[in-house]
Amino acid sequence: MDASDEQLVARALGPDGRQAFGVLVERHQSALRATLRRFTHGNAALADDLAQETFIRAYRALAAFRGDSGFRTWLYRIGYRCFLSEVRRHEPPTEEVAEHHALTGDGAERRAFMEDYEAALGQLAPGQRDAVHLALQRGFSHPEIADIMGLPIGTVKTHVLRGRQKLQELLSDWQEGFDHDGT
Amino acid sequence: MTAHDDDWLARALRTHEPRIEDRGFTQRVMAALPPAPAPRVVKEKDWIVLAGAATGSAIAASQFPLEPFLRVLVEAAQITWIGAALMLACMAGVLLAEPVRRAF
Repeated sequence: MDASDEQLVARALGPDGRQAFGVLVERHQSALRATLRRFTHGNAALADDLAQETFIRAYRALAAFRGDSGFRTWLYRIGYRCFLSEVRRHEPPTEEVAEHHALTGDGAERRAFMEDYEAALGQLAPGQRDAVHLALQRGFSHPEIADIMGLPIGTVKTHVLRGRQKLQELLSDWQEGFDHDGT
Repeated sequence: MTAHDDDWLARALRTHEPRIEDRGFTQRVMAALPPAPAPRVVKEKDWIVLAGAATGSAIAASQFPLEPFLRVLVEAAQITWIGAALMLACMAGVLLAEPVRRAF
């Protein structure tokens, strides 16, 4: 059985902890990089730099990780702060950059759905977009999103509810297919 | 809107989201990690500072008469004992009040 994140954190704090931390990086890199690509409007190079910075900061602060929240929530909170620091340093890119060639999965339907989803997501306000992504794609709970984004829980609930409603309206053509497939 | 409506979108997104291949990312992160912080070793210089501080404290303490200080300490301890005894008596009174009231 695979070790849990918390077990790996405990090992990473011991002697030869780098190997355990490497497992954590390997485990979370794909989802974290994808999330940061979403936040940076598809800027893969910037997102990867931010993801690397996130893991380095997490490693430095590992001893301070108390386990009050899950490791994943803690990691994403660091990632979101890295992203916000970047936004403060520079203007956010206004142009959406399509970065699908580095992704695996070639299904035409999958790509078409994700493209429609990207377009629909682009119609949401930035805070709403980030909260909806963390809820729907990463499966974080409302309190966890509030923790990651540093927002009141009521705001997060409103963001997720309204954002999801809008997405469902915009992507309603896809619903029947998914219901039929049961995917 | 039903809970089922909510589910299809989340399920579709989680199933259809492509995985980003590692392609050396983990290796780059591991190479950029700072060295693990080494446990602090007390150096010779630290011992000299500690010994100096202890000697200074001992000299300073020897300049003050010890008797009045001890007297104040004993008085304070007595006051503390009286306070503690009073507090215990009050607590015992509160605890005993209810059974006594019931008995009469």
